[in-house]
Amino acid sequence: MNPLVDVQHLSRFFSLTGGLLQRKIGEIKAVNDVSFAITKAESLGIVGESGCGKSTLARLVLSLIRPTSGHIVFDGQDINRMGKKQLRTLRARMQMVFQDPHSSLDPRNSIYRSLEEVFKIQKKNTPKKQIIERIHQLLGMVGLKPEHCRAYPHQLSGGQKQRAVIARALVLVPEFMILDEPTAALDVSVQAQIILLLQELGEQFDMTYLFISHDLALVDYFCQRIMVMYLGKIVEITPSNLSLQQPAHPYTQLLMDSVFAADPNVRKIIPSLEGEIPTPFDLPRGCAFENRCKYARSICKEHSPELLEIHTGKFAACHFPLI
Amino acid sequence: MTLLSVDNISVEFTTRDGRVEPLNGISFDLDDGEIVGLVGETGSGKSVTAQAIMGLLPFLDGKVSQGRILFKGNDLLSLSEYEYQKIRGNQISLISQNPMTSLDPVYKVGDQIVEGLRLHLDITRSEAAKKAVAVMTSLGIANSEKVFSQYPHQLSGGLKQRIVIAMGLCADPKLLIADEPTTALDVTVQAQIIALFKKTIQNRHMGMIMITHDLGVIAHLCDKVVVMYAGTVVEKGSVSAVFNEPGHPYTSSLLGCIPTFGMAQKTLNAIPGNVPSVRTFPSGCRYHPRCLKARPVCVDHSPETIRAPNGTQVKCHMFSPDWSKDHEPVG
Repeated sequence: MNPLVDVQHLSRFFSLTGGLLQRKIGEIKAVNDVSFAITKAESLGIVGESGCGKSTLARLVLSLIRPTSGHIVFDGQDINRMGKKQLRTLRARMQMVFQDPHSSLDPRNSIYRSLEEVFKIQKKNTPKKQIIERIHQLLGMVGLKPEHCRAYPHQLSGGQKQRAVIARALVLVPEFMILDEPTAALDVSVQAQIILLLQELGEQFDMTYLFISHDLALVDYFCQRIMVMYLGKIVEITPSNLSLQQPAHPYTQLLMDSVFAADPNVRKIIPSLEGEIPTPFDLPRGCAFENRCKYARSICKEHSPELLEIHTGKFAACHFPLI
Repeated sequence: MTLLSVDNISVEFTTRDGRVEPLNGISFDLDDGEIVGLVGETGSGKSVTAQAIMGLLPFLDGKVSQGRILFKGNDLLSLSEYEYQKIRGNQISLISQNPMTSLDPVYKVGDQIVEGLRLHLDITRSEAAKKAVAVMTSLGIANSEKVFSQYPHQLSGGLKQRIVIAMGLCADPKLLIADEPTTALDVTVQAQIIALFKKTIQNRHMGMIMITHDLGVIAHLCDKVVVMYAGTVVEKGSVSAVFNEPGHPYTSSLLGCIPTFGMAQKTLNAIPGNVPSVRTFPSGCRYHPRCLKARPVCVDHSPETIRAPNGTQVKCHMFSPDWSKDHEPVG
């Protein structure tokens, strides 16, 4: 089966200028030679700490920014070769939900107008009566009431705003949704509501998700596969349900060890960390994780490891994988 | 020995829309060498509790309307502002969420630690600098002498938070209040900072109040936990009792909301409804609109705090002797 989204050797470098003449003094390798594929109706999670390139990757996949090199193939078409018009038609099939629902909604537009705008942008000439019906239906789907149409963003709670944002993303019945930390700004009790809603919608519409988060336990719960990123590179791709398996990359292990379970019976000793996280501006020649890795040997300093399949469905970029 | 005793305090704010009461009858105790966690969602009153203890409620429109806060037996609320200043930062320290707002971007971090030290201790600048470097080293800051003369923007987030902790600890306080100290940090850095707190509190034998919304941090770090909801304490007790056999329906639902490893097959347990805001706190038990066990009595009467079978103190009608079968569930 062909994947819905196929990312091949994707890179995006940002140049850094400085000095009096604003000369180029370096490059930030935000996304560095990344390849992966997402099959239809799958949810793939991306986990990593701040600065690892997960949000840049999301923007690249939606073609909100252009890559430095590499290809993104969506349903057989290379999206970077498309013209504006083609891209607009394609964008109806892919949507994004951002972290902060408050800044995703125009404060001067009612929820109705925010949703109606999508029809206008797509120039579909839908009759008004149908638009109203459709919007009411969508609000019902995400657990809001028809009267929320008239509400302005400041009148809604954070959870309700995120529901409205999800409703807007669903207007055009997309096949693919990118969720960039959709619950990071919400309370835990509301986070659970939104996650359940997304799971339900995923089943209802056979939705393909790319779920970005820094919360490994949440990604493990929500996704079928997990991709761990470190400083612009993929270090591991693994099937989820991490409690039943040993991670292959020492960084994944570190992330798992850093998660505190809400259970006082499993208090753990936290391994003290040596070394600072290198900046993506000044990447080491070898493995980027080498200076924080307790298993590092001399080869790690010299050669950057390739992402290789070490088990069926399990990939790791490490000279000495843990399994 | 009891270090801090918060006794039935309520806080009132005067706003343009009238009076609001973000805290209503909060009580908890803290012993020497003990870490108490305050946990709750937005608007539960965690940060207002910290401000009330520190005497930092907004001067004109916020005040403690009832109750006492006893620190080593003395009522903090009866102190004058001048007397409070001698305690604040010296005996009781506050670490806030975002290290960048606690540090002045135009001064070197070392000078900022020295400033606090010299305010409370009668020492020379060079003695203070020596002490600051020593505290920084004890907090695991490598080459702390170099860091001493750097500016905040030159440091990583984790390092900045360590500097803020050093500022809080350098005058040897008896009580440390940390308000969401790791929320702005990455998970691996958070784990380091939490381990650092644990070690420091043990070594210095001081008390700590850890304010967070993260139940995982509480489970890992604290001895006791105070669960807050909409300005009230709904449950308090030892961490093992509260986490292993939660008494209050809110506590058990909240624990069910958190995804953990190994629950891929199970479903999350969301709490219906929204967290109420301070202007719209419900009547009776403030949790009743979201509570699956609510009955008519919960709508009308605020429950007393009583001892639940698991040994925790719970503010819920469910544990009162009157919770008889003739009360039908709401809806």
